[in-house]
Amino acid sequence: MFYVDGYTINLSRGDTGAIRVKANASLGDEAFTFGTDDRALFSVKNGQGETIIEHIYQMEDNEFTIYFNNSDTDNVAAGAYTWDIRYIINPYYDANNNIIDGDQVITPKEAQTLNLLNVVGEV
Amino acid sequence: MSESNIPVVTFDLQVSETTQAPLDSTLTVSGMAADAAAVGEAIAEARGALQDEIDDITTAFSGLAGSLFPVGSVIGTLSAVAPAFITGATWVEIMIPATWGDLEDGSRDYVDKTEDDTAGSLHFWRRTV
Repeated sequence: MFYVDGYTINLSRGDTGAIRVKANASLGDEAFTFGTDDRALFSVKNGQGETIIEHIYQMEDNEFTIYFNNSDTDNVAAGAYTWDIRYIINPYYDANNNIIDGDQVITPKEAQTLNLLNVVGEV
Repeated sequence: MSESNIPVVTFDLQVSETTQAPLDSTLTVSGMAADAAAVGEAIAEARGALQDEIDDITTAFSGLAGSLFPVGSVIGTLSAVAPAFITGATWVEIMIPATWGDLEDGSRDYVDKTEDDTAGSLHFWRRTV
């Protein structure tokens, strides 16, 4: 099962899903478009602050798609988690190509809920 | 840094029309070509077998209209009636057409219908994860 209610994501463990994310951005009175080097970071964490899912996306016309793969949650316990999206303008990378900072880091919305639902059968 | 250089951003979420991750994303599809013949045979066998199981499957999935079901949700049934279909598969999706059972209004029909809808239409993907 996979559905989104407002900003709450509901996903059965191990299920796949795709969410199209469209950013509405403005700089002053002008529309703002993220560049090809800019990135969107989608993160899911548990109550202990441990990262469950972390995906980085390049945007096109301020849009990107979050893909949930089977391996993202197949071995994760059912329950409530938190997620958010952070936009990084001109990201900085470490030696391992991990994003460590950027010219600007923007978190448009406070952390929301991802409900990971239990399943009966196991893949 | 001047605040005037920081864009104001909001975002909207939209569940994609198909909630299946594309094959060219992070999934490995090696082995698909070699297994095409076996998958085709297994699909034909599973279709015939599942026609006898329609009532059971409808009962199991009522209220979950429009969802995609990992094989884990039905593998107990399929493995009993179509073991060849399961052998070697690491992950399979099954989409249930809107004409089956008590699916709610608004459920999406992703599959190509046959002329005989009573037989149902099944669409299987087989992927190596």
